[in-house]
Amino acid sequence: MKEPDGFYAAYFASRGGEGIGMFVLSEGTLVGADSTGVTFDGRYSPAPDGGGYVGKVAVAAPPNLTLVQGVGTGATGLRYEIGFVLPSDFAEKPFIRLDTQFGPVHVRLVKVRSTP
Amino acid sequence: MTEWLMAVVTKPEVFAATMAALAALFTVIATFRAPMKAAHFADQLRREGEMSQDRRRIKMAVFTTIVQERVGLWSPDAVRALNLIEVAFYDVREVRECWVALYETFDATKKIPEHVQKERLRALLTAMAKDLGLGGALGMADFERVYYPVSIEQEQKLRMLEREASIRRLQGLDSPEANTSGMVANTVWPPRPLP
Repeated sequence: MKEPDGFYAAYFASRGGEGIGMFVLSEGTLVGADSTGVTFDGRYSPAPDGGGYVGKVAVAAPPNLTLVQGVGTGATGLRYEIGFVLPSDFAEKPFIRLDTQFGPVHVRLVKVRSTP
Repeated sequence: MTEWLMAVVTKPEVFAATMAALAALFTVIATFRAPMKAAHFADQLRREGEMSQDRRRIKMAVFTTIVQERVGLWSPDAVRALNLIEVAFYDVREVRECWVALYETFDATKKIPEHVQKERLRALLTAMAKDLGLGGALGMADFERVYYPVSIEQEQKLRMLEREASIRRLQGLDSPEANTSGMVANTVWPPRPLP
C-alpha cells in the first residue's frame, strides 16, 4: 500500500459552491486549512481490511461565513467532526464523497509533494 | 299532637284520612323527582352509548390500519396501530393474547419462521374482526388474500437499500471504492453532490 504522507491540494464542491484548501498528512495526523479560514485537525490509520484508510477530522469554522455545504457558521462559528473512509489510491480518484452533518461534500485530493 | 296520635289509632276515619294525606305527599315527592331521575338515567345511557361508540371507532381504526398494512408491518401507521392494540382492545382477552403471540415473532433471536408470523397476524385480525361484529363475514382465509403489485414491492426494496447504504456511508462503514465516482474531465473541481 502506498504511503499517503505528503502535502495535498484539496478541491471541495458541495451544494453551497466550491472551495480550495491545503492538507498535510504525516504519520497518522491530518491537518489543513482552506481559503475561508476553516481548519481541519484529525487522525487517520490503515483500514482494518488493509484496503485504504479510515479516520476522523475535527472541523473548526470561523464565525460569519458560509460553508461550502451552504450553511452559515453564525456569530460563534461552528465545530463539528467528520468520519471518513479513503481508498488506498485516493489521490488518483476524481473525487471522494464525504457525508457531513450539513450535507455531502465531494473532495478531490491532489498530491503536491511527499513529506521529507 | 298526642291527641291526634290517639285519634289515629282509635278512630278509623282519622286513620284513613291520615294515610290518604301521606299517600298524597309521597305522590307529590315522586312526581317531582321522577323526571329528574329519568333525565339522569337518559344522560347516563347517552354517555355510555357515546363511550361505547368511541371505543368501537378506535378499535375499527386499529383493525383497518393493520388490515391495510398486513403485507408488511413496517410502515409508521402499522407500527402505531400495533402499539395501540393493548389500549384499544383492553377488554378483549383473545385479541390481546393473539397480539402477544404475534409480538413474539418480531424477536429476531427466536428465529420464528415467516409463515408462522403470517399465521399469527391472520389470527389476530380474525379475533379483532370477531370483536367488532365482523367475525361471521371475515375469517382467516380472507386475510390471506393480499394485493401487493410488483412496482410497489420494488419501490419498497429500493427505499430499504438506499436507507442501508446511507446508514453505512454516514457511519463510515462503506468500502473505500464506494466513496468515489466516475471521471470528471478538464477541471480540478469535483462535481457538486446531489442532495
